[in-house]
Amino acid sequence: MNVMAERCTGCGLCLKHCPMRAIKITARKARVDQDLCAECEVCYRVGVCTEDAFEPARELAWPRSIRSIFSNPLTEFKETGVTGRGTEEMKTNDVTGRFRSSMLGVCVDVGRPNVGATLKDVEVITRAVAPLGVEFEGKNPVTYVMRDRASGQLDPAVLSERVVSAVVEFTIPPEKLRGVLEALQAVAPVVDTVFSVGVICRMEDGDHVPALDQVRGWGDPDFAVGPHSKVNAGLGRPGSGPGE
Amino acid sequence: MTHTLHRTRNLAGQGEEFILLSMAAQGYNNRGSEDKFRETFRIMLKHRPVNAGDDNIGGILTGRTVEEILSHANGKSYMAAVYDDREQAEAALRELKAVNLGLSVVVTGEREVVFDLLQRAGLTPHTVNMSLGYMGKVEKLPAPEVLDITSMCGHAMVCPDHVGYVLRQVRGGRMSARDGAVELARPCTCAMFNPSRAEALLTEICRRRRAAGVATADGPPPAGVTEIAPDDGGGRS
Repeated sequence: MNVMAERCTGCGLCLKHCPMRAIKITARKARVDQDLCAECEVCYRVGVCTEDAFEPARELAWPRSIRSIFSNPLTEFKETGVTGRGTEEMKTNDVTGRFRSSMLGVCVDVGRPNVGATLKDVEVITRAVAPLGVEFEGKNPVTYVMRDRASGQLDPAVLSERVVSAVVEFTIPPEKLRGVLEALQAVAPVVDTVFSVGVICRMEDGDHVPALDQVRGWGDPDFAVGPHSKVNAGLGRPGSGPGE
Repeated sequence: MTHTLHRTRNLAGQGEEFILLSMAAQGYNNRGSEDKFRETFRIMLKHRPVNAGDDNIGGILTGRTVEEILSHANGKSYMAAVYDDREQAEAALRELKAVNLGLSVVVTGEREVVFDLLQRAGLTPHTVNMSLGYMGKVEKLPAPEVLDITSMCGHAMVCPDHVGYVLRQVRGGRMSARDGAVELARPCTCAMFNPSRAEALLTEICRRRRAAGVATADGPPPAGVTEIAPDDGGGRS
């Protein structure tokens, strides 16, 4: 993102909208710190500038282009055809059967507004869980920039790229859940941002959540499942059209 | 994506909320689904959501009209609606079940309440995604009551600094809590930001600050918030 200096009046109204605090006022003009900017385009999209001074980049070169893929909800990840940072994950599981009863899904959201993250932060997490034999989700953009799934190493070219947030997605057999959570807890002091963890589980017998029983059974206050959840209502079914 | 999973509820008295999201599985049932998405969105709107839209274009609080959202519907749409009333959410789910469009629908809220809601709507939950909370440099997060607002946008488009600005406007009597809530919903393209909850939170935060003896438009901002543009202008260098 750029600011057209000739249009900017230096009013500062845009500053509060930047999730990365990348907009600064210098010599009465707003300027975008290109190192901090995650190319999310919030400043442009909310239309806060009365002078239309914001100018989105026409085309972002690799590896900067991944800033937009991770940070701008309207940018489509061409490899999957899905917009945003992640995948359909459990939202279409009633159609795809991606998560079976014998496995759990784990999604780790890295970065939050005004905190942000670098891909280096993300790599700390992928490296922490990879040795546990997790199955990284192939359609996720983080996995796409992964050079070695066995070690969780990302492409070194992307490590210094900044994003508003990224999601690491993988599946595990249920017995590995505690090890994964402990690995995440172990790297929590090392990661220079915040991250949040979600566990995906197929329901059994209508209202039974096996993973919930599993975590509660540990009796460990460090790993408490909160009351907030996303629930697939089971309304989806495969199509019958050509190519489906 | 985990659009709605990590919403926090640190302050009491925010009321219930149910977020419905409908989408197709790419490669499974996305082809020719445009009209199904239009029907889904019309049903969602009929039951009076407090916010609604399509992740791919924006929502009714980001400046999109219903007509724009409907005309833009395609196989990659993510139709969303936020309800602050359990009966309206249930009615929307009942109708979506009745029309049997075959698109997936996800409901976010308090797990046991959602299970009950689905049961009442005649639906059986299929898969669940549960939040285990935040880890890492949690000291970088804003104050809990501000996080309650910013975490309503899973893509992290609603900034603590924006919340700080709106709070100052509301405290100073230059903006109503309702207008502040709608203002905060603007950056959330997924239309999953809940303005009813935000209005209640803004009101409660201001009430607490008054009760704590913080002057109306002065005093320090909540933790993790940088108050900028104090009077619709100025800036940070």
